Amino acid sequence: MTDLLNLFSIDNLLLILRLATPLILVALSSTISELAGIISLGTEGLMLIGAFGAVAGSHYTGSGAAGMVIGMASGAVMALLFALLCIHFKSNQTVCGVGLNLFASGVTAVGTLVIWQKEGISEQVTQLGSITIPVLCRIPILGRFFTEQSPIIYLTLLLCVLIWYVLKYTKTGLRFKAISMHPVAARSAGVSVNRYRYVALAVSGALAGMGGGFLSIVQNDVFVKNMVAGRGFLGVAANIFGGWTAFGSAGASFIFAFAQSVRFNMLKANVPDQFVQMLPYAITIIALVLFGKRSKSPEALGKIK
Amino acid sequence: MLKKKNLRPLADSVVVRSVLSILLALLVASIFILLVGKSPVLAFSSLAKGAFGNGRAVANTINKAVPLIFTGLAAAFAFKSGMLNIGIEGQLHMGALLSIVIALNMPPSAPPFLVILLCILGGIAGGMMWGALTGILKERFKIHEVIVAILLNYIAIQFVSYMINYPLKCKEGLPETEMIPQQFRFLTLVDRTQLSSNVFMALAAVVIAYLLINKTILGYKIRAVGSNPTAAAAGGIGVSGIAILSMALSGGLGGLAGTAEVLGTYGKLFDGFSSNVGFTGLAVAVLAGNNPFVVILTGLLFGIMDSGARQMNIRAGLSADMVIVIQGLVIFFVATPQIFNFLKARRREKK
Repeated sequence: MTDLLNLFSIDNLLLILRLATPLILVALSSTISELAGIISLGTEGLMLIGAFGAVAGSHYTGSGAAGMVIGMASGAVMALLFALLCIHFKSNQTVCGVGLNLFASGVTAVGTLVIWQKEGISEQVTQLGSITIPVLCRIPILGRFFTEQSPIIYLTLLLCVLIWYVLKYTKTGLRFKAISMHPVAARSAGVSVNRYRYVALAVSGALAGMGGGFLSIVQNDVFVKNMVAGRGFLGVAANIFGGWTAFGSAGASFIFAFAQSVRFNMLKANVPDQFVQMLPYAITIIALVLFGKRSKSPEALGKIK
Repeated sequence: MLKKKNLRPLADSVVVRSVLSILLALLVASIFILLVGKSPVLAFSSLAKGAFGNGRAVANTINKAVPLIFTGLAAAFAFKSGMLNIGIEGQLHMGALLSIVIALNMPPSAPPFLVILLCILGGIAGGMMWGALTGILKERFKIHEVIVAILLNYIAIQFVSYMINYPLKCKEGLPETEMIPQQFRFLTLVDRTQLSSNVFMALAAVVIAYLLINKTILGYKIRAVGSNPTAAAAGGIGVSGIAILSMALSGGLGGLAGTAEVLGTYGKLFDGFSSNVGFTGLAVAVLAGNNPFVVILTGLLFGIMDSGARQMNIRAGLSADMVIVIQGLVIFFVATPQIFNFLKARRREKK
C-alpha cells in the first residue's frame, strides 16, 4: 500500500517528469512529421542520431549547451535527408523509416569507434547542467520542481504549448493543418506545400534530436550503443494515442512515463521487471482498442504525390 | 504492369533496381569509410575474406542467411497481401519460445524426428498466433498494423526475456535456457560451424511459400486483396478474413526463423538472440521484389555482410556495425526507385 502511495509522492512526480521529457519531445516530433504527411517510423533513428550528436558535440566543444544544439542539428539534418527521399523521390515511407533506424544504429556505432576508439560506449563528456529558478524554488514542496532541474524539461513543456498555439491560432499553423488534411486543396490555394513539409521535417528532426540529447547528455554523460532503446517507437505510439495533437502527445507521454515509473517503485514488490516494461505497450494497445476508432489519422498521411 | 513500365522506365525491373541499390549503397558506404579515414578496399576485401575465406567461413555465412531467408519470406508474404509486417521480430520470438519449450519438455527417449517436427509446428504456431493477433487488431479494431506490430514486438521480446530469466532459467543461473538435447537439434552439416540442416527447412519454406502464393486458390485471393482490395471484395473475396489469414501465415514464416535459430544455430534461447533479423527481413524482401526464390539470394547477400563484419572490424579497424550502415543504405535506395530515374534524367540532360 505504501508502494502505491509512493507513486504519487513528489519524488515520483519528479521522476515521471524526467521520464516523460524525452517521450514528449519525440512524440511532438512524430506529430509534426505525420501532420506533414510523412509516416514517422524513423524517429527511433533520429533520436539516436541526436543522442550521438549531442555527446560528440559536447566532446569537441566542452560545452553541454553546444552539445545539445549540435544534437538537435544532427537530428534536423538527418530528418531533412529523409524528407528528401520521401518528398522529392516519393520513397516508400515505412520501408525507408526502417532503413533510417538501421542506418542510425550503424552510423552511431561506427562513429563511436572513430571518435573514441572504443566499441559500444563513448568517453564521458560534459553534461548539460541543471538550473534552479530563483524565488520559485522557495515555494514549499512545489519549489522542488524548480530546484536543480534540467532546463530542457521546462523547454519541453514550453514547446508543447508553443506548438499547440501555432497549430491552433497562427496562419502558418492553419495552413500546415490544411496540408495535413488536403494537400492538393492547400496547393491550389497557393500554399507551397513542400516547403512547409521540409521545414516541418527539420523541426521534427530537431525535436527528436533534443529528446536523444536529453538521454545522452542530461540524464547521462556518455553515448551508449542503441541507448534510445525503443523510446522513439514509444513516442510514435504516444502521438497516435494522443490523436496527432500537441497536448494529446504530451498527455500520452505522461501516461507512459507513469507506467515506467512504476518500475522503479516495484523493485521490492517482486514483480518481474519484464512485465513492468511491457506496461506502456500493453496500455497503448488496450487504449487503441477502446478509443482507437475515435482518433483519426491525418488524411494525407503517407500519401505524397 | 504496362502502366508501371510507362511511369518508371528504368526502375520497372526488380533486378536492375536491386543491383543499382546495392551498388549505390556500396558507393555511399565507401565515401563514408574514406571520410572516417579508413580504406574501403581493405574494408570490403576483409569483409569478403570473413565471409568466404575458407570452407568454415562459407558454412557460417550460409547459416547467417537462414533466419534472414525466413524473415524475408515472411515479409514478402505480407507484402503480397498488401500489408507491411513490421512485427516479424516479435513473431520470431514467440516461435522460438514455443519451439524451445517443446524441445526441453520431451523425454530423452522420444523419437527425435517427431520431436523436431513438433518443434517446427510449435514455431509456426507461435509466429502465427502473434501474426493473427496483429491482423485481428487491424481488421476488427481498425488500428494500423504497423503500430500494433511494433507494440506487439516489445511485448513478445519482454515476455521471452521473462521466460528466460524466470521459468526457463538454466541451472547455472545465467539468463539463458538449458541446452536442447543434441538428438533434438538440427544436424550439424559442417564440423565446428553453426551450419545445420535448418538450411533445408529454409529451402523447403521457399518452395512452399512460392506454391502457396502462386499456385493455390488461397494464394490467388491473397494476391487479389493485395493488388486491389475493393475489386477483390466486389469479386466476392472476404477481404478482412484473407488479411488476417495472410498476416498469420506471414507470422508463421517469421516464427520458423526462431525455430531455425533455436534448434539449429544456438541450441538454446537467450536475450538478444535474434540481432534484429526481423527488421532486416523487410529489406531482404523488398530487395528481392517479394519473389520467394530471389529471397534466397538477397538473404545470402545480407548473410554475407553479417558474417564478414567481424573480419572487417579486426582487419580494417572499422566497427562491425558498418554493415548495418550498408544495410540501412540499401533499404533507403531500394525503397526509393525514383532515385534512379533521377540519375537517368540527369544523364539525358547532359547529352
